[in-house]
Amino acid sequence: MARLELQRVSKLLANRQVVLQDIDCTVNDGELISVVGPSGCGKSTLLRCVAGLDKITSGDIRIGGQRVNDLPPQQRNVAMVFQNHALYPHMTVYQNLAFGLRVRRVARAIVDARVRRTAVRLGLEALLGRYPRELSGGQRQRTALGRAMLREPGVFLLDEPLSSLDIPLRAEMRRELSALHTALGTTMVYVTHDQSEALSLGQRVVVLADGQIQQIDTPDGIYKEPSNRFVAGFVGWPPMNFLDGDWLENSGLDAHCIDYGIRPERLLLQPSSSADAFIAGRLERIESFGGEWQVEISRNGSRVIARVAPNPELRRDNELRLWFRREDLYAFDRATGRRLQG
Amino acid sequence: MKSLTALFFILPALLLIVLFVFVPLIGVLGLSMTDFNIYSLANGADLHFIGVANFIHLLHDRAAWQGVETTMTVVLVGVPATLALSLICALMIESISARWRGLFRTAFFLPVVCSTVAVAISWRYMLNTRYGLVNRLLAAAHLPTPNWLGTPSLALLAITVVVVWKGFGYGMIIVAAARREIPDELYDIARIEGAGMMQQLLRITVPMLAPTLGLLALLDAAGYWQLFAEPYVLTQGGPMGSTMSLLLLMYDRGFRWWRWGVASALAMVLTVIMWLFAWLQRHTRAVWRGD
Repeated sequence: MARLELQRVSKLLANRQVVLQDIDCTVNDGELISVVGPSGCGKSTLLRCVAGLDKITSGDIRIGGQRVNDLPPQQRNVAMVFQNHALYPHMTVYQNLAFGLRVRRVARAIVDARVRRTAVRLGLEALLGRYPRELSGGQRQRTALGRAMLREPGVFLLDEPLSSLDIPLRAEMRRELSALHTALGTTMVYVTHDQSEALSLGQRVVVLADGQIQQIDTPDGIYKEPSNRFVAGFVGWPPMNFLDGDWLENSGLDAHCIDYGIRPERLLLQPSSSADAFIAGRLERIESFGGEWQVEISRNGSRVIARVAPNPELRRDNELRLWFRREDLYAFDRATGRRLQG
Repeated sequence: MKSLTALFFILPALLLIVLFVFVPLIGVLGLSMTDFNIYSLANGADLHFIGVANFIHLLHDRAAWQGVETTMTVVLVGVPATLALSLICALMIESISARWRGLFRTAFFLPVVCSTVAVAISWRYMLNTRYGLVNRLLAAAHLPTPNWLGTPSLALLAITVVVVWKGFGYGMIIVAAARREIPDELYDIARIEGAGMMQQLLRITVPMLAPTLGLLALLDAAGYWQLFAEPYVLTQGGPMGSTMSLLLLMYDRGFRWWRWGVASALAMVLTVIMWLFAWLQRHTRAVWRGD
């Protein structure tokens, strides 16, 4: 178990292109932190840098208080799980699990005992003789996890471990992973491009874009108090609506150099004592999700989506008003994208 | 109707195969059971059906057994050497910078596309006892300068070297392609677990390449069993028959001594051996693919 500290970590490619810039982040001992961002934002590179597979250009990485910048991967006390599982196709589940111990020339009897204990824990004991190609996606993932667990690392690094699984299985594995984290109590860094996965799994969430940290906060904090326009638009589904000046011409709000945003679930079909402001547009589309509808209104080519309760009175192409409370609006500086408080 | 259409489409290829493979094969099988020789050419009455006598003759022919031994030696030494060289060069060109990769790949592959006879002639010059490049270099280094192609034990070694040198580039290209197919993450995991270069090679690279290497071993072995042009150009089977491969022996019996019956019997033996390789290749393909 170990605390992971990143201090002003930057990575540049040979052509001076910036992959990571001034990453400052501390993952507490035993914490599960998720790192989320669009593809190409540098999140996988960040993980590889922590693991020592890629070199950083500047800054410091400390694991358990020890500076590991110059240590090779095997001395960093980390284990990694990859998106494609990275199981050895020519080895059985048993051999895959035992790989690290065999490489380090641990005695056979000890290897055997530890491999079997881990296999039982992950429900793999009946599959030890199988090859990866004979396993289901979930079983492969468990094997890859087991191999990482056998390393007994201070920090687990998980690089999109669930994205190659289908959706029901993903939800199941997410629960298992969460339970595993509780049971092991090991520090985990979980990288994903899926914001819902990041929010549901992480005790805290790091939002990364263009190689820079946009925000670090609890899932609730990220959702309720996004620190800038990028985070506000990236986290939440459907994404936050950004309202340009046209939408707000009747509201008395100054939309001159400020972007206003509102979450789809904060838009209401009816006014109330507190929800006394509205936006209006032509109802373009109604999408039913059973218990909830998503309605889309448009005005001068820009669109707003609202999540509302099913309402049979709604008609397409009619003018529709969506009401909201002024305090539900988020305000962002148009030039910098930074959130404006108050 | 459907099968008739299918037949129509395969007919041209089928005709060619029958005409140029099966007809000659049956012809050779027929010849191998006769005592056809230069006299039979002049007078058909001298041609007799002698059954399997040619094959029995071969069983007692010391030259034939030496041919087997010579060919097997080239296969048993040449195949592992070719594979090792293919593997080493493939891993080398995959690990050097892209700028030099093309140059080395071309250089190593060049012998494969050169005419065997031209290559063999160049090697004959290079191996010349007095003026050859090899011995000049050896002399410059104050090492012994043997008569490579004139010494029985060395001639076969020299021929094996030429064969391997000519052939390994092909395997190298195949192995390099297979190496590129191994995902990088497998090596990332190995690095995190602390496997060094040697462990990565032995635990990941070689096992992952085993299907490819196995297939190459079969192809190389099948090719080396048909060794002909190198000894034909370099030594004509000498000295003292030490480089007389089976195919060269067949040529020798047929075109030099006009003993077509015996030569055809040898050809049949070689055909059976080649069939064996084809069968092995078919039936081990699943294994090589790892299915």
